[in-house]
Amino acid sequence: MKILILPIFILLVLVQWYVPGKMIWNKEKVHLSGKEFKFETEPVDPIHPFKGRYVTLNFVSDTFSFDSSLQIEYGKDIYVELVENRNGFAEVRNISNTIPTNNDYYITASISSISSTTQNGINRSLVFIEYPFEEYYLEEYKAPKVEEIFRSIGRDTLHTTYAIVKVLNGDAVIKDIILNNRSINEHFR
Amino acid sequence: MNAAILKELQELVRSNVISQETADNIETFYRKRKEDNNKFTIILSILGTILVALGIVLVVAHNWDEFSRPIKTIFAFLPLVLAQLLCSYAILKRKDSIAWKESSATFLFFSVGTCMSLISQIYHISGSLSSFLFTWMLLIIPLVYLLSSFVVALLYIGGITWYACLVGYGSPSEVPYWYFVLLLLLLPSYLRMTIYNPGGNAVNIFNWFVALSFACCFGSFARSWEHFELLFIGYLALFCFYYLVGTSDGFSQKRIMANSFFTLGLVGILVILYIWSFDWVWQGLSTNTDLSVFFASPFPYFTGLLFLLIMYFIATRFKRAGWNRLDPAGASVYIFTISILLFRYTPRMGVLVINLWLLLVALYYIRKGSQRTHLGILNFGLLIITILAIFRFFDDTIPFVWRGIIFLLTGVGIFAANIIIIKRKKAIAANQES
Repeated sequence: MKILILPIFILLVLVQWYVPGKMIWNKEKVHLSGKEFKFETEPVDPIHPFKGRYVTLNFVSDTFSFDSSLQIEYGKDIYVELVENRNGFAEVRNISNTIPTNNDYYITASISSISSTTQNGINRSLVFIEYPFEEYYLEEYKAPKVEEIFRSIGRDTLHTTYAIVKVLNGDAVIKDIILNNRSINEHFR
Repeated sequence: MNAAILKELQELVRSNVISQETADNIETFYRKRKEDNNKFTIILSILGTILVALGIVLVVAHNWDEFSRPIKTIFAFLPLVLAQLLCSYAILKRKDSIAWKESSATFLFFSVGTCMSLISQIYHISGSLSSFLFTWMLLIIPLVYLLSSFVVALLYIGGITWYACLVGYGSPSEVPYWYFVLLLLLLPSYLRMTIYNPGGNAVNIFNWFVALSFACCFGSFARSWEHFELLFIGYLALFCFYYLVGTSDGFSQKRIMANSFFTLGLVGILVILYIWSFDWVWQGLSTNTDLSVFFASPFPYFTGLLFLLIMYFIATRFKRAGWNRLDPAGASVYIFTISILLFRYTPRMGVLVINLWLLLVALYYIRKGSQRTHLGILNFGLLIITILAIFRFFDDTIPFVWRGIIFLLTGVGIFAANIIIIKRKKAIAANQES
């Protein structure tokens, strides 16, 4: 058994490298080849005990209405196909419970809630989407200030705030947050 | 041991100043002191490592966003690589040094978490804290075996408890079934510890962590909290089971603080019984008879299993010692369950039964203390009655006169019992001297 300790430890080291390495690889792939989408957003400022302070992004385009024939289960992954609207912001084109075959620009997301409605006698469901990129991490002193800037902009209807998100084959990564036509980092220079 | 002292001892033996036996005793004394010093070094080095590692976690959590992505990625892997190198050195060159193995394993434990945190931070990866803890714990559990790290085992128990509580009590919540699998991964390590060092501090501390961890997570196996009395029945069953384990042959000789199952079990039993000795809890019982949601969760089935195990313990003891030495505390869950079933619409009766049962538990300890002439046990029984009397002081359903009498009797009882035991102890001491 003692002879095996070192090889097993080397295997453990490799696994301990593989998990964060895989996280990096997945995200770098999206950074390099993904398509940019702008997601209109409004944030709040919470904290994670290990990862630090972040702003939670509440996206405007986070609902989709569909007829109840589509079987979507709470707790399972859904695939959100995106399209750019007239103003250049991301909009949900379709959701499905299988991976879209003819479109690379979709996001694997989860369902935060489903509600049922009846429109013209047809049963429809409204799904609230939980995107896998709702947290934007910032230096601890900046996060509360960003929240403040967001709030002041939020009252002014002429300005829009949005996240630039790169999307590829179900994965997504936030590239930048734009506040008042300026990158989030420019507000601190 | 210092060579100069050894030389001096030999000199003293040769000169007939001290005997060989005294010299051996002195040598053993110094060797023992050196071992204690080693223990102190181990504890200090582990504490130091934990502080350094937590410091790194906090520095990383600050988020140095002026650095570029590649630089931050390098910083994410730096503590991980350093910790892995230290662990490799401990495995290859310092395999007999507990301090080295524990410190490097503890450092690696935190480095894995730090690395994952930083990567998530750099790429703004959302994700629940529970899934983060789950991956982290799976990545470090081999250290418990590869470096025989006891501290990592304790940190791991803390981690999986946190995970189970987040999954089970969070919103949305689900039954944290993975908790059992994660806990079972520690079983070989625990068995190894109990075989090689059954009475050691490590086993005692491990038992404390496991007992507390399971008590924290147990409630998360229920999916409905509307019928809270059923949760109390489950928890009382768990504490009775702990208590019976703690008073069984393998555990009963341990000191109170070394016997987690006994201490936690007894405190849990008493707290639940005290809560239900109040009228207002009984008044708040739900009138809804639909238990389908509750029975769809694993909680009632775990409770059922605990009922059977408790029955087994009580039956075995009854067979061996009969009624005479039967301990009422361990059977509390049966009395409580019967009270809930019979008196849910007559709360006064329920309150009366629970108060009387608490009194019986107290009398059992007073009798036990008296039989063993043990002031600690006797006063513990009296303390149970005293707390009960204090709670009843605020109970306006009992007339003032009766409450006054209860207080007087309790006070007189405490004085009388202590005086009797002290006198008995003196008599025993006098007999032994004569």
